[in-house]
Amino acid sequence: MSLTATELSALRWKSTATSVTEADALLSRIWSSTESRQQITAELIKNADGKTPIAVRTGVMNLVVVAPGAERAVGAASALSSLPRNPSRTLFIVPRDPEGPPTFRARLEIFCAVTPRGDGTSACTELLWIDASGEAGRHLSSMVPQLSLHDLPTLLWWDHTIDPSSQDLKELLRGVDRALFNGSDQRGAGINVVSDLVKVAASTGTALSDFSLIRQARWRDAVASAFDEPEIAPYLHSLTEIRATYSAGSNSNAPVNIVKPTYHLAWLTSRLGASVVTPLNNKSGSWSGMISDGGQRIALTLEPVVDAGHSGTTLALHLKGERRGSTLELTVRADGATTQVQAAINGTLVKERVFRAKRATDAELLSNALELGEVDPLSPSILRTFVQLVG
Amino acid sequence: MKSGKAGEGGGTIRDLRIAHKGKKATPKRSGKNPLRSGLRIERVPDPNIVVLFGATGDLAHRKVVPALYHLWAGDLLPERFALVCFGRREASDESMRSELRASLEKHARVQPIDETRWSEFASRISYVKGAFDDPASYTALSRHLDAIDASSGTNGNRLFYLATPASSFPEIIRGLGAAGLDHETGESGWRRVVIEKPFGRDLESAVKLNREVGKVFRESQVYRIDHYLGKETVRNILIFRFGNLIFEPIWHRRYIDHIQITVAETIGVENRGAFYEETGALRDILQNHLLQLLTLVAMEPPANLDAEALRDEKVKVLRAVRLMSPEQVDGQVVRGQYGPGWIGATEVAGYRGETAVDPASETETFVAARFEIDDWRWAGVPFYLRAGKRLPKRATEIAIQFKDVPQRLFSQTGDAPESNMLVIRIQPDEGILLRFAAKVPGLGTDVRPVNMDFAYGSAFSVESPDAYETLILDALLGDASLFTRADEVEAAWRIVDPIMESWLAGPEPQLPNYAAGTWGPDDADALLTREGRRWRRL
Repeated sequence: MSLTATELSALRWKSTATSVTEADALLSRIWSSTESRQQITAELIKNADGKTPIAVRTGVMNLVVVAPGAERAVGAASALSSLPRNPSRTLFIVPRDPEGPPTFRARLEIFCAVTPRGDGTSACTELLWIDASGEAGRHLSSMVPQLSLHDLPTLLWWDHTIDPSSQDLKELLRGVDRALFNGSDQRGAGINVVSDLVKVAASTGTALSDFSLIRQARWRDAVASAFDEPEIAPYLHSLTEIRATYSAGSNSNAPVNIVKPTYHLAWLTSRLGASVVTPLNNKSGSWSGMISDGGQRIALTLEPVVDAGHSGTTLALHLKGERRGSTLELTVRADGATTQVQAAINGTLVKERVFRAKRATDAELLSNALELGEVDPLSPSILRTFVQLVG
Repeated sequence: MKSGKAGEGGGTIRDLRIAHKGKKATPKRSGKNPLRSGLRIERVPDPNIVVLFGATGDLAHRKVVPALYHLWAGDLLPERFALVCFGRREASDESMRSELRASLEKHARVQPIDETRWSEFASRISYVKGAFDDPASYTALSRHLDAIDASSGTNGNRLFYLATPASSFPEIIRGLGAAGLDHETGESGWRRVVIEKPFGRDLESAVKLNREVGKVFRESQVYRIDHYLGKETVRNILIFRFGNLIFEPIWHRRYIDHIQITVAETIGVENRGAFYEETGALRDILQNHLLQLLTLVAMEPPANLDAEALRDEKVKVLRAVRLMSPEQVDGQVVRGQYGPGWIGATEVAGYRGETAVDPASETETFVAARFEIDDWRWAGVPFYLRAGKRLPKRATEIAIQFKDVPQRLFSQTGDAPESNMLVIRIQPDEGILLRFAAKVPGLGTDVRPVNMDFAYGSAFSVESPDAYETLILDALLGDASLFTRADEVEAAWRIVDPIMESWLAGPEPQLPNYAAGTWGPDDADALLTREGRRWRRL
């Protein structure tokens, strides 16, 4: 008997709770007996032996999503639903009405999919939609540990503005293994928020990943590819200038978040093994700084360009190097579907390549972040350097 | 004493210290591109040309070219890359591109074909017509490659891929050598040759082939490909064993009762009847795939993951496998051939009824053997290996059966726990399963085996590359870890040779002796049952 797509991943159980204890107890009860687990799949097909297939909870991870509103939480759920594997339990927390009375309301759901192994086993994932108002919404760290499954890694996806001075955020970070955030969504230039968050996370021992940084993988691939070329490689440690241009949006007076272009500088600085001589500072709109690569000074510049693009998006990355009287000029650009590399030595084009690297979707970024597990080979060193560049 | 400059030979310790302090700290720099560190692709091959011999053949069209295309589409090949197809028949660059394109439509892992990527890839394909035994063809090939080097900057780096019948290997190798295409000099770039199995038909022919190859290429230039070693789960055996602390201490005769390695196929010989008649299950699977899996399971930890260190350890295992005398072969090796039967509710012909197969063929389509490894780790632990065609289920796996607990505390309940078993599933449903005993919930002490199961498919959302992609990329990067070394091939033949000799000298076998769709001849079961064991049910 074949199953339709709907049957393969369908809502199998739902309930509501008005307290953390109640939500925890309801879910625990489901998995505590064979009968209750069979109830989840009761409507499913009978397997070959005439028995109802049994439901098991996946053993992947806890995911905690903190979103500013229901719409963002639903968006996050949509990204999750397209993943090939789901967390065992996901808490979608929407803090509301901070001045109102403390309330907790949760909608609990269990979705199951028949596994392809052929024995009728159903793998299930739990979704908890939580509205937390008043003080309850300001004490998320008091509810997350109790609602997290024991002995599974916990990933916090902070899809919200960040207040690094918040004691609750710090406590929350203490209780999770990794935190995902989006530095390019933060207020103002964003770099101080990210820098402060990195410091807080360092003090709690929490691994951090920024979607903005993960998203730039295609830029890094493109820049690195240039230095695979034998004639370009020698210039890597003879760079004199790294300049990133970014979109200032159409309104040149509005503050621009520069987290994304700063990540490019932080990545290159960390990979070159360079040290920060002068942190980035803002002079009449442009940001400049200086690093040293084994004594070789490299000027850093972030340059805004007024255009119709999304404010804060990197437009191009320019690297200049000088070696034995020759000059390398390398430019990398990206659009929705490709990245383009152009390199010239003394004005003569030596490399021109277009990579088919499309901009990652939210689901792809999330999948990438989940797959990183506890080992993210890039973020720690880049974030450390980022803090030094911000100063 | 007057203080001199550090480094001039007359300096004091203090001078040296001061001079050292004054030095600027310069980061250690290697030839690697540091920007690649931590990226999706940590290394890309040098600019190069792949020269594909047998470009019009089945292997090239099914495996090699799709793998190269996927590497290109994944930006894993350098921009300065060219594919030169070498074949006997008349064809133009354009007609070869059309043929390869048609094959990609059938065999590419990712469909549909990306038109932009294909046109980039296709523009790098050219065809050279030539005969494998004609010296002039190699001269023409050499000129063609030099021209590509000059126009495309491929720097003289060349990978010669021999996707031809094994009988052509010696003449191609000789032709390459005579034309000087093997020469690696300071500025000529690297030259490597990939050879497909079978590496010989027996020890004598393998030694002869290795000698022929060795006259032209150094061993470090030779990449003998066994695609099994490129499979994700096979590569994971090393990670599993040496990247985890908990398994290695019990990976020992003290705790392991026996090991079973199975390569079961549901298919018959398809359209390869003529090839299979010359080969059989012993040569086709046991001599290479099964023994390679055995080496990975049984080897000692290498000092590092360097190709030589890894292969040294594998060779040690093969050399420690106890060789069988002709008398022992009868009791320790079982051969079989399938007769007509049913597979998946479909009636299928017996082996002797297959196309291009002798109706009185004595070729084995099934082999099961019991081996022992004479070293400190494995002494007394039998390794049961089996491979067969037209078996009820497609499955490749390694099952490690642990010994019983020393005292059966729970046997009074009548539920003596089953011994632990660890199963490494290689295909399909790749993963690892650990079976252990657990108490059945209730007031009694009933014990039941339960599974702890890791499945690649559900644990990672990243799609595994095809084994050929992995191996071709490794060859282009100069990493020979997953390729078979000459002494490894010879050591494997040394194990298999006595079996073949015994079969040749023995009486005519009673074949066919198992029906298609069954688990092989009864004697294969007896191989284990007489020792109080049984094959794992797959």
